[in-house]
Amino acid sequence: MNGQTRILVVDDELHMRSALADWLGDEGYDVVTAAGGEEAIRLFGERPADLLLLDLKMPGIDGIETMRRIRTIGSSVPVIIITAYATIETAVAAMKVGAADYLVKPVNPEELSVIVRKLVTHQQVLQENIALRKQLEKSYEFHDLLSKNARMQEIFSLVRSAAQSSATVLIQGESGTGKELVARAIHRASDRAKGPFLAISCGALAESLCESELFGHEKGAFTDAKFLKRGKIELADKGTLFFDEIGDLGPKMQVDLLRFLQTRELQRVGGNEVLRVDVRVVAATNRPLEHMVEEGTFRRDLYYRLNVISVFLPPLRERREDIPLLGDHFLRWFAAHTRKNVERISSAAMGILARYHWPGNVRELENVVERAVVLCGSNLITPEDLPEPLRQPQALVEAGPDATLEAVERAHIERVLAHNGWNIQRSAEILGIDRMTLYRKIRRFNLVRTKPVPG
Amino acid sequence: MAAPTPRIDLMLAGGVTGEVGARVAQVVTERLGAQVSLSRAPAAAAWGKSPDGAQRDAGALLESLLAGAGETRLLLTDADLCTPVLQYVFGAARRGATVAVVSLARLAAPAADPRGPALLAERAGKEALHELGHGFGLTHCREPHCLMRLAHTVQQVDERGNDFCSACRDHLNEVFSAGPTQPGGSRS
Ligand SMILES: Nc1ncnc2c1ncn2[C@@H]1O[C@H](COP(=O)(O)OP(=O)(O)OP(=O)(O)O)[C@@H](O)[C@H]1O
Ligand SMILES: [Mg+2]
Ligand SMILES: [Zn+2]
Ligand SMILES: [Zn+2]
Repeated sequence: MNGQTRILVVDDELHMRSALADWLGDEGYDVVTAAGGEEAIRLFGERPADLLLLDLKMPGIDGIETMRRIRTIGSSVPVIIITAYATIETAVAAMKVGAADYLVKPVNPEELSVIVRKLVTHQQVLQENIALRKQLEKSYEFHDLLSKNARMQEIFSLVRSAAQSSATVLIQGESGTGKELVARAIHRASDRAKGPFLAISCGALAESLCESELFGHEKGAFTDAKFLKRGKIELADKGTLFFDEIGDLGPKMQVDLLRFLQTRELQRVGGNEVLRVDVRVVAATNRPLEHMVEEGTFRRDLYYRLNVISVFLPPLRERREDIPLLGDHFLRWFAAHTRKNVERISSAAMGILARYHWPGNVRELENVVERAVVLCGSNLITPEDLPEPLRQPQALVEAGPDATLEAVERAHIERVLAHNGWNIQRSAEILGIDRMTLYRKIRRFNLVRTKPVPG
Repeated sequence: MAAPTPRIDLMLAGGVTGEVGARVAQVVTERLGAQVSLSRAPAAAAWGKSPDGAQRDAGALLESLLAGAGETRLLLTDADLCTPVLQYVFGAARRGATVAVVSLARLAAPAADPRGPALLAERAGKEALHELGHGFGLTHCREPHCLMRLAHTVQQVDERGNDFCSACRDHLNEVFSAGPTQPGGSRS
């Protein structure tokens, strides 16, 4: 295990450097030495070490400056500062700039051995955790979709197998649940990935324009048709055609689309040529399509044609385990793109996100995190960076018929606390529990006191 | 052809008892097939524990040992040893098989331990062989029970076995059959 661990020993005194190197080499580490700060930085740049032993006092660049420069290359390598003078100040200064530990010359061999082993093990655990986390996130990922929810995982595997065929897919789910993302994932997972992906927003088109948009038109087909225009269906040949908001498609277009789905052939408006087109159709809607069929506003035969493979995306409040995963994901994305050094969502803020009912689903979460990154004044997103409505107890899960007991308990405790200005004694009396129990529940549910709204 | 027998002068300094000395002489004879002559170090050399209990520099001690006569000299002392780099060492040796020193200062068993003097003698024997091993050119060894394994606590000294591993043993046999080696750097 020690074989691969590389330690860089930096000291301007030869006997110190070689004694430490011999000694660590005998302990089984791979040791490199440098006689000064510049050499250390150069060696480290060529090949990073797993641990640094740095003499504090050196001519030229001293130990602290060497460490600072190595940190600015973005390395978090643990550093042990070795100093000849044991003063509180040097120790404090060393720890302040991020040394993991410090030792006084001459070194206590047992101490040195214990500290080195501890730091090396710690480093290995960190590395393993990073690898593990990457691996975990990988399996939660399907193209751009992230989820650790079991139903979502089933959807991923359904989509994975659906992608192998050219079967039509109907995706249903509330607004912002990721329907378009799923449609794109189907395309990218299929052997059509090299072909085009074209989206048509059915709600945005007037019925008259919709026809030529979809099927194209010949030159002179109508007054404005000065040129030949290929329709979206034709352009999507060998690719995927995504009908977004299919529930908004007008009655005439429903008939035209149905005909295309049956024959896979089309004619441009004003044309006679019959074109065969090879497209995979994916449709999505947040409207209750089955209900619309019963009502008679959506054609039953078209519904059956579209609904060959059916995907229902659960709302975010039904997969709360995804909130931290997605929250962190969006945080990293926005922090990187705004170049803000925001590293984490505090546990109090995450607690608020985890409890909110997210009517706008993932899109709403994405917007909330984006706003928080912009507002955030530190490297930590706190409850103050979240929009006011989220921080209100009313924003919590309403005790609907499908709420869990825990959710109801949490919401109730929060409400009582808010009504009593977070007076623990009074709240505990009302709830009929003792103060310690209430404290424990506050901790368990991650409840935080939000500042009263002014006015 | 049998390897030539190394001759070792074992000297006791300060308060090191004859019993410990005899025990060390015995293991060195057994393990290295050496011819050991046991004597008390000259008081004038000041190699034992100093009156104020201050540590002695292991390197300086080796230097003054080198000035003496004889093929290989091993000193047992009750002085605590240190180097400019390490706060303490259990022993030190100059490569080339001329001088080695072992300190008993940190090897004693706790007063309550019934194995008391026997344990001290056993540890002293192991350390003596370890330092002589360095003297004969061995470096530290990774074999868990080999006498040449690095130790900086008495527990680690105790965990070592009573003998060299076969690789280290092979090296020693080679050195002994080749005769006296050239002096080199020092090891602890
Ligand atoms: N599982 C997910 N992982 C990562 N990002 C997601 C996920 N689900 C949704 N998003 C993101 O949330 C936003 C909304 O997703 P999308 O546009 O696919 O939703 P939609 O269901 O099509 O919404 P609407 O019905 O309002 O059109 C997008 O920015 C998308 O990238
Ligand atoms: Mg959409
Ligand atoms: Zn060995
Ligand atoms: Zn040694």
